[in-house]
Amino acid sequence: MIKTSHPFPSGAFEATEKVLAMVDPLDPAAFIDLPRFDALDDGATVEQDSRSWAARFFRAGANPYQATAPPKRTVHHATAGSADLIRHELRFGELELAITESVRWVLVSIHAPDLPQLGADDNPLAQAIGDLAEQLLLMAGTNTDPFGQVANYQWTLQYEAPLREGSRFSTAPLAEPRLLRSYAERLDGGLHHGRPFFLGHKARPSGDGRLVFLDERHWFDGQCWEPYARSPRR
Amino acid sequence: MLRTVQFSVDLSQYVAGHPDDLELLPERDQYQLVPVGEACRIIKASFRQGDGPRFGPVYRECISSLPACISQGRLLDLVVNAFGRGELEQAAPFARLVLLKHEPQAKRRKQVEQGKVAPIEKPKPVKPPEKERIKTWFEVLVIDEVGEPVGGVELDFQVGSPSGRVPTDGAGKARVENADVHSGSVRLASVPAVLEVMKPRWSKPRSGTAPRGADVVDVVVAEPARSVSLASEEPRTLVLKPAQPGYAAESESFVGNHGLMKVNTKDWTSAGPSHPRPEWRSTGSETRPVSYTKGHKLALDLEIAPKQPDGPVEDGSIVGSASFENMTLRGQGQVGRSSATLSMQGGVLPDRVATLKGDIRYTINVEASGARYDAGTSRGHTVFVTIDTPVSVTGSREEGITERRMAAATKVIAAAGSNDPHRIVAYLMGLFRYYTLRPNPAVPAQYGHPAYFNEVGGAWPAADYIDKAAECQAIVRFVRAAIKQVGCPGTADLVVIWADPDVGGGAKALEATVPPGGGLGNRTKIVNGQTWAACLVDTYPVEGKVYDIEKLNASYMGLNNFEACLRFEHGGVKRYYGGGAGVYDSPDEVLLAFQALAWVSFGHTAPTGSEGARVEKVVKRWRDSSGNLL
Repeated sequence: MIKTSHPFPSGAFEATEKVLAMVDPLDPAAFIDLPRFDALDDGATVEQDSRSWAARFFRAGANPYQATAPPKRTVHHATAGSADLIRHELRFGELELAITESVRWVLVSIHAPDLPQLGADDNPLAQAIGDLAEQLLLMAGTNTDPFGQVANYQWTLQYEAPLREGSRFSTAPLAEPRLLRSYAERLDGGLHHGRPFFLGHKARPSGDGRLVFLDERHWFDGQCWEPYARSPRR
Repeated sequence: MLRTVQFSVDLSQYVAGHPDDLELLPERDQYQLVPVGEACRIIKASFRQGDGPRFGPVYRECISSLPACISQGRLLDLVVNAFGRGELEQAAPFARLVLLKHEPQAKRRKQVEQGKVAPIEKPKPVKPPEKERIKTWFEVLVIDEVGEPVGGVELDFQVGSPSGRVPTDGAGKARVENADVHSGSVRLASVPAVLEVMKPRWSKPRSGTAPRGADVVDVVVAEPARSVSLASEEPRTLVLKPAQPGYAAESESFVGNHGLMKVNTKDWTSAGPSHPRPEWRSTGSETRPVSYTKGHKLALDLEIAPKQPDGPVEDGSIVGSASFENMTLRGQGQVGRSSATLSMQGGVLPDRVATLKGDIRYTINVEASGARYDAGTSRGHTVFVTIDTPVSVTGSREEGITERRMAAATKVIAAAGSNDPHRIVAYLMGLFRYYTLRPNPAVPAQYGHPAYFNEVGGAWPAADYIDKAAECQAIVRFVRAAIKQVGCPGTADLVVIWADPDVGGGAKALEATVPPGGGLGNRTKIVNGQTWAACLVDTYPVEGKVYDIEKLNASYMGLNNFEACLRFEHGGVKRYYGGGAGVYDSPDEVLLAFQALAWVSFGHTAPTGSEGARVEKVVKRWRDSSGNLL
């Protein structure tokens, strides 16, 4: 992580705050076990989607589909104020990970017992959060743009000093999450309830030129794809 | 055969054979050689003592010809002939000894004991009477299959005393003097030696025919050497013939085949060994498909080999009958002693894209002898007929020409039923009745449906999942790859078309080839702290109105960065084929697929409760509120 030399623009973390605001109030009891994806109406598509994004974001040990110990996997069905969500809870060494994902994002909340405390000096904590990101996430790699071209990326999280509860970090705070041409264009994170988190955006660039806005409340039943499936010839 | 068995039984006790067959007989110890006169007497006696009346006419015919039958040998065959054709008179009186088998029957023994029938005298061991011990001679003329005498051939005479080897002289004759028997046999003393003698004659094509006749016997020069019966003082002619029961096709190398397909029928990647030659071998390896440009002639080099080595070289014509397109391939050349390669040319391939499958059966006709040989069948051919030489779409994920890709391309393009490139493109684009951005789990994840951005064949796997649709760009990539695979002429490029608010007031159609591509991606500006994005919208936009961007409903608005097309130019005609969409004559027309170019902002809630986008500013309209072009 590096300190940003420019203050983050207002609204830069609108999408992040929206996600946190949705997830925070959810009753843990509303997450029910998901032994098999085919229990969901559009389970096959949901599973394929979840797996493909996990492969993009996570290193093998933190990938909920490749973890050594099977994660606890639960789902939360959408309500008026919340989305269809999958939650994977797993351990990664000393870390406890709660990975919550919708059809549009992946949120990783980390309980790290040895994390330096907030203090006057940001560096130890920033270093530790950066190390966490490197441990868990594919901070460098390749991605495919809407035209199929493969390009390298390398994420470097920026943060505003001083680090404190509620701090946010991002690899590209100016990029509009809805208009990303690749998930690699932006990774967000922050400190929330004393824990670091990372937020990846499931950007779905379309080689058709279409901007994709999936309805988070209809991931499990597949209706989120309605505007983008079987589109008639113009 | 039944008739033979029945007759032999009714002959009661005796079956006659030929001395040449002696060693082949089962129960050899039950047979005995007897002089012909003795044989006649015994057999006639058996006729008389048997149920003569029942077989009366047949018996009479047989008995009248019996001496000739026996002297020819193979009495059973001749008896059959007597029944069937009455040709006993053709038998040549060469033999003097007859082999008889003694088969006493219990019933007859009983009859003899009861005095109902007279006993039959058993044949006694051959011991020619003194009066038959004479000095005689045997003579054989050896000629080749075109009637030329063959000298230097050592023959093995078995004619009593003196028996032994005698070479033919320059006139092809071999003679044994002072023989003490009237019948005997002769055979080639050494087949390899005779083959050496014949090699110069059989190493080149020759013409001519050997004489035919009752005293002429064909002798195939092959192991085991055939024994030919001889009668004293009656010269016989042996015609040496090559041991050549036929030819066999060994391999096929197709001429004019593009030879560009990599051997890969198992996956969609471009990996695989290069196209092999020959494409077919008789040894059982898999037949590789070939590709030809339509309207060209199918041609191949056929390697043909004699089934037996050391045969003569002959001028022959060969015909290959293909089970597809009623096609016949023809070739001409010399066949014989060893493998030969003949160039064969077939008919003109159809003037259309096609996949021809089938076998080719070969027949060789030898001109000199008129012999005709079945030279075998090559099976499992696939001939892809293309428009022209296949072209690889280099630099794309679809790069490469493989057997599987060719099969897929010819299949879909053949169904287009046209050689017109534009019609073909239109047909292929129309195969995808819609486009989709929704991943379909029925398509293996490795293919990355619907974008098909993968390293295992790119958009080629779409051939297997046409009904699952694909992204526009993937459809375009598939069509481009398919038409190029069959050498369809024309220039095909994946392009994107869009308009930019800052270029010509949004009225100018912009075009970029992919890669690198173009479009409005991230074409944003900040207005009063709010991010506005330029989008091509497919709903009539009203400034200030918030549209649903998540759910299809009356207030839904689709937002686009560009339109992806296949830009195809051929014959001076350039058209833009939208992926799963319409066909346009120009980039400007492509833009008419949209309603307008507008600035929109996000983070709003649509009247439906879904996420919405507000139209902040309309930059350029192409259609009015009724959808009519402006």
